[in-house]
Amino acid sequence: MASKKVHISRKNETVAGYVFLSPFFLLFGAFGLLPILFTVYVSFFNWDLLGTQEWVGFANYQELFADTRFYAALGNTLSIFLLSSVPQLIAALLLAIVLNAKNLKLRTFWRAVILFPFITSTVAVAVVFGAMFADHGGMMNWGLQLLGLQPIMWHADTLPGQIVIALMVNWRWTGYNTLIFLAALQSIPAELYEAAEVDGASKLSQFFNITIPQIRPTIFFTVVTSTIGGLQIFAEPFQFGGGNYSGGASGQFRTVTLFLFDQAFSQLRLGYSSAIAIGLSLIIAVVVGINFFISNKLVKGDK
Amino acid sequence: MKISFNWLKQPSLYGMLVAVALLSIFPFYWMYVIGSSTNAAIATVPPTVLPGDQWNNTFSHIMEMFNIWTVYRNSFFVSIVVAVVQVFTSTLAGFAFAKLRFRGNNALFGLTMAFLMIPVQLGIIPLYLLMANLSLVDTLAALILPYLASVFGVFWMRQAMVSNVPQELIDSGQMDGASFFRVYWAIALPMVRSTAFVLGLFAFLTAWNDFAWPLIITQTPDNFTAQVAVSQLNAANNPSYPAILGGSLVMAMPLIVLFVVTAKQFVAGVMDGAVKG
Repeated sequence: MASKKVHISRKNETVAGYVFLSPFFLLFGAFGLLPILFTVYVSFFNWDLLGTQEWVGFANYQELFADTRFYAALGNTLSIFLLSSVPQLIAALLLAIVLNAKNLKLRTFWRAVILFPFITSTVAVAVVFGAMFADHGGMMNWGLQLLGLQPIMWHADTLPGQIVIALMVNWRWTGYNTLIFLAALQSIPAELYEAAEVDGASKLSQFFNITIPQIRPTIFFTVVTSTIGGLQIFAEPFQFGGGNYSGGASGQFRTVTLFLFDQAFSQLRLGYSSAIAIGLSLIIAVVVGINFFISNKLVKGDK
Repeated sequence: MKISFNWLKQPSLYGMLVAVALLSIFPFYWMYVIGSSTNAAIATVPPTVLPGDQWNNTFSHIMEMFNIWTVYRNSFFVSIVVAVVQVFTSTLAGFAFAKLRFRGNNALFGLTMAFLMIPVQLGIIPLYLLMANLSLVDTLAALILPYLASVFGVFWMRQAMVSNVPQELIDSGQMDGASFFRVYWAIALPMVRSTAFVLGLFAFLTAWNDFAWPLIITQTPDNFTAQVAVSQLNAANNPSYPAILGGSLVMAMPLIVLFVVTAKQFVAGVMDGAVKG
């Protein structure tokens, strides 16, 4: 009797397992996985929203490889990505060390206030920064003139525009990454530092020999997430350019995703824009792969 | 390297924290400053940094462009449905992965982890075609459907179930003859409620702040959500800075209130996700 009951319960457990997983898999499959797979399919067509669907093989990819607009957009994207992720992660790590101090007062307050920008939409961030960094009469140029410097044409010039967009990303994400690093710092065993103190290691040497190796997985995690997000940047340059896909008067801050949206929803070239999406996915995969490689190398280098 | 300091010995470190705090808050304050001023305030020398008395004018100006209450209603509806359903699908799948023994459990979980690497946003074109086929273009349903399942949510809730729900409780629930759903609902879910609540907050926030997809899929002002509405203000031919910045603040207000009320859970949630991630 008893064994029969267990048998039925095992069978029920299997059924329950599949039933409980099905809402997630069905919804993610239909609206997450299928669209990205279908993107591959559409990329082999000359496909517009009005009904044309013509198989063209690799023609979209051939066009993409030769398209100078794509390379320009890719260059802008990588430039904005580096201007945002590198200073942001360094600042976040330093802030996390300050917030991890032993006898810091108002602990919860600082953590909350530093996370506050994270709740802002990318649209609102872009709107506010766009106004602060206006070419004429903006707050930042007023500040520069106060210091006796020339005003900067934030919207018109290439590097200044990319810097402002990177600042938007930094403003929104630094606090978030600070808390991620803080969580990692808190999980480092205190004995490691105590032993180092006994050995007379300086704070700086403790930082490079204990802190950095201990939080390496977290550094890897933040680099990968900011890569995946950063290379798809869209709302900030869209709004900074006045709400269109051009990315500035001469496309000086037009990113790959802006280019993709322009081809899809202004030019109605769904096949070509799908090829852009696949191209960007592969580039993201390559950059993430490079991260894996460097991270592995560093770990092996320790041993 | 654990540093330690106190107010008197190292005022510079607190000075740095105060500066960071001001940087975090200033843009929100400044949205109100410009929103409550005339259009000229944006370019005065020196810059305007104190609120004016034009807030009511700005508010009615925004109302001429779109109905703020309609936008709120749409965004609240979309964000709440997304948050509730995402918490449900994530905790249910997380429970199955963490606590149920069935063939394929590990393989399916590995597959789910592989999904984490997929840049889902890049499927936007077929997603649009799919919605067109389902006749859902320019509906709130099209804004909701893509966000009901979250790979990160499943991953996170599985971790929460593993670390918070003892297997003995699951087993004894079964012995008592409770159905597996009953065990999930009455035993497991209450034990992960704080993590599930933070997942819900994140889902709400993400849905409220979503921009690219609503921009593509909505057309009529009746279906505008918060970010599309702000974007409309910014794209208007005759830009009114009070309306743009004031409108951004109006559309951020529900999240500001939500954050202030739940700041502690929010911070804990980010740090918890970090360790698990």
